[in-house]
Amino acid sequence: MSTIPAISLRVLTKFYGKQRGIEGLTFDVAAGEAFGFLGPNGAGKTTAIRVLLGLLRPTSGEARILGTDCWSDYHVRRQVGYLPGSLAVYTSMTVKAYLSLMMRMREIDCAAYAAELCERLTLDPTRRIHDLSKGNRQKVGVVQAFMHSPAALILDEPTSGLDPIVQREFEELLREHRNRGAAVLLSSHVLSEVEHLAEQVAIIDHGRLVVVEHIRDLKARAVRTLDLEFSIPVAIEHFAELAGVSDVSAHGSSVTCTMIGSEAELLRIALDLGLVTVASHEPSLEDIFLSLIDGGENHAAATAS
Amino acid sequence: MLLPLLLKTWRDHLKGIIGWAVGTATLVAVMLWVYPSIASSNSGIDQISAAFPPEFQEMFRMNDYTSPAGYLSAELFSFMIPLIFVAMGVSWGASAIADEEEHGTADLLYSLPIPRWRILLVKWLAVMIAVIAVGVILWATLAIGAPLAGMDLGLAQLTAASLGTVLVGCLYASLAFLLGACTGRKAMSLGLSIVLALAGFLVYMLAPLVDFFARIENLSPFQWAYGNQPLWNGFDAGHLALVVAVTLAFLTAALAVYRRRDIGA
Repeated sequence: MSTIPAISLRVLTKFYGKQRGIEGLTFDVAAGEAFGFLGPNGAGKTTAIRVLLGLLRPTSGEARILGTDCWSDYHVRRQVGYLPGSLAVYTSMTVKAYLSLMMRMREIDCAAYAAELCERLTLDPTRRIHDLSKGNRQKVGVVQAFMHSPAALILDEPTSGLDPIVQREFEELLREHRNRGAAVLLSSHVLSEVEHLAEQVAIIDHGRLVVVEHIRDLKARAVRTLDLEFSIPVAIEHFAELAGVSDVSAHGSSVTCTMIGSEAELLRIALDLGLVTVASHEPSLEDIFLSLIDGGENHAAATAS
Repeated sequence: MLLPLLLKTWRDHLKGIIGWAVGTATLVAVMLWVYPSIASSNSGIDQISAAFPPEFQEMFRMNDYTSPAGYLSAELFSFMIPLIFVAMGVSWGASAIADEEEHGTADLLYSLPIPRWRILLVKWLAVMIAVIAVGVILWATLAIGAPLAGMDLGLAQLTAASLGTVLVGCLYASLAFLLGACTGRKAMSLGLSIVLALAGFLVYMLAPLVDFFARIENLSPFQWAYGNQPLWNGFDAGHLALVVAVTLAFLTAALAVYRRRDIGA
């Protein structure tokens, strides 16, 4: 049982409309794992998610939740919590009535936990959804996705419209559910949003997979900038030959370089030379993200020509 | 898991259902209320209606206008009542599936652990029951009002005419429902159903005047429901069964199409 991934895409392809869609997506999300699903707007994240839920029929390939194809077997959806990217709920109802309708249609009673979730997210359940702001409506979506403590949480741009305080509470909530063993698929067009939540990410662009990797590996292979400040001017030759170091330049007693991989060797040498301070400009994941996508584009352009 | 959805659908349509029911009851009541004065001045009115061209009389089923059946046929069942039920049914039928897709609420609905066909069946039932409910109001107003207006009409005749009306409403509602299932678009489903309903209605209405229409009038659901003049002749079980069969065929087609379709795409 544990060998079956909670969420699994296998060469998943979906074409519809004019050239929109996804092609050959493959990745797994294990139980108890939070997985980031990243790509620019229009890359196909929502399409993949909607195929996964059985809202769209795959052109080819497989999308499974707990080993079951949602398209052919609706039962598995009991184990799924879904927050759509463009959330729409029945606005004429109150929050409480809506949540209770969803519970009755799911044939479960989790009113107590739903009430707790509303409180944690500071959502007033007596309000009519029509009168709620976008952020508060998003909270309704979050509550209905989490309230039945599903085995798989599929969240399409979940934090859109949430203020920072609620966002933190949401992240806490997500960790709790991941820790109790839920698989979480978290889509976003902003990498920093999933950075603290997900261990692994899949990045897609133009419907194709660019990379599936652990965030720490993604970071490790990323180029970052170091600013070294010395008590006296130093020669750049000390650093230029080190593995992973490049673009070394010196201005008086400060040295700037870019590097990939471990900084240990460089720092040891710098300390001997009288290092005062060091500032490491953390790799901007956004930059990694963009460079990967640009790379993909260039590659596509190269193969096309 | 189905009752909540049924109740929710009705709650959404409640104002509409009440509106159509009150409108229908009022129309019927007013027509019944003025009937005694028309019946008492019978010769005069009959002369007036006889003065219309015979084609016109046939179109609006004006034969024997001052008789109870003739009066109800001309004033209610030749035009207004079928129009009300078809308009009502088509508007509900077209919204049933397409509304949720257009508003985006379909995503959460169809990701619930309920098979699509069951959701569709409930939505269809909600529409049918709403149309039938307004039909019951129509029937009750007639059944109570006709004797009060001094009409000597059998309950079987009134029931047959009401039933035919309800069934035609259900048929076109199911057609709009099917088109909604195919396209997911409300305006298109509504428009196309109205065009098809008008076509059926014109064929039935102009059949006495136009040879071509007379030849194809058996294709018109209005002909099936009203062709045997239920206000005079009561039930025509065969043709009513045909209306029901076509209605169920539309439902079956909608279920089959929607089982395989992409939602909101």
